[in-house]
Amino acid sequence: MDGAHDLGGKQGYGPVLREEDEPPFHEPWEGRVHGINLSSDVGPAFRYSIERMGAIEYLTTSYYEHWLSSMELNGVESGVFTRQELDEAAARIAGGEDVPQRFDPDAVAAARLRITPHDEPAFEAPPPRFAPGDSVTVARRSPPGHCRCPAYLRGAPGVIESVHAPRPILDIYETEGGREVPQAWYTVAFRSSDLWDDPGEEHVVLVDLWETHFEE
Amino acid sequence: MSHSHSHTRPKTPQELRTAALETVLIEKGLVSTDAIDTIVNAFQNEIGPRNGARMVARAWVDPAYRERLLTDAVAAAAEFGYGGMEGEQIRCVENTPEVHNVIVCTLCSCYPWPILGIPPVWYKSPPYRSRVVREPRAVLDEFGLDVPEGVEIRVWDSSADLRYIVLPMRPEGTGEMTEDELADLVSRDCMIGVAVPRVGAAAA
Repeated sequence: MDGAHDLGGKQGYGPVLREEDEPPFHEPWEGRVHGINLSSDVGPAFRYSIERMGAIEYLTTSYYEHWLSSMELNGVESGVFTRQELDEAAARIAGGEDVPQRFDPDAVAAARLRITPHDEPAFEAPPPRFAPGDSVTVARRSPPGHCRCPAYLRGAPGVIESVHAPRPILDIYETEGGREVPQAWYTVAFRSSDLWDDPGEEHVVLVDLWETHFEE
Repeated sequence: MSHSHSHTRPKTPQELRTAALETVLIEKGLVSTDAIDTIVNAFQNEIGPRNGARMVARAWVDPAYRERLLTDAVAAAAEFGYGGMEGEQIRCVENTPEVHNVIVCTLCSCYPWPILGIPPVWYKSPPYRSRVVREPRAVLDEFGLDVPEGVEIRVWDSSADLRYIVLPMRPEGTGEMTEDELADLVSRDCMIGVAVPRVGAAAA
């Protein structure tokens, strides 16, 4: 979808504002949101749920507000909880109730595993159509769902830099409820002068794309 | 382990929404207080750019490790015990006298958490994400980094499952330094590619 999240090459956002000695979490609730997200599963559409926040809200809220909105929508759409359950819990908390506690050594072990080295599954897919050095053209498509091909590449010529072992294409995974369609994917090199018309700019942009993202 | 969060009255809308989400998931048995605490504590105390800096310093002093880092960064990270979510696939890209690398995620804010920690707000913000692919020299200039003309800039947009880390060049005049001292020179920004290590500069 052509949402506000697809920022590459857009202009008018001003200087990069930095913060010295930035902490991992600026507020305790940000840490909770991070911890909840990494230790639970509320559905397969994490990014697609952020992208549907609406452009104005997306651009005027923080990273962890994006996560919060995503988990709320993702959980409701996946049937994990309802909007009403969230609202009722919020009303109870606002009325003075504490967040309940639950302790589960198995959940702690699972959380630990997620943040330490672990084996990844391998996926079977048709052999890759392209090899390093091949020229490709990015398809001019604008699908309505989640899309991992940045809009700034549409129609652009590129060169395959490397080929990766198949992985489920996330466009389908996030849009279609976690459906896994493994596909070859690639790192593709683009010349900046093939993407934008800025005088004097000459650099290389490398982007990871699935086979779906190229013209037939 | 502290559970003081449970006894602090939510004040802002974000705090209230977070507390509601945690409450619903706890009541359904889908999340546990201690698992959330485990993640929060790990990202506050264990997982951060010091991890990546140790890998860079090792690569500077050990050519065999450098080779492993450049060919299989996931395995090279696992040698230090680093890995997991958002680090299942990592590629290390090497700065040379001819090439300067910089990483971004224009669509979201993808970042190699196990070795760099939580990305800074500027990395996740629209100005950096929109501009660094299009005008990297102007952005690097704002960071105080002047990449000599003739050096090719490569911007890596982490749009799929691969996360990136930059292997900066070892600065001159560091021949006598220990691996730990070298790691002190390697800031988070050096591994994103918006800075380069300098002798006498403390790692941010």
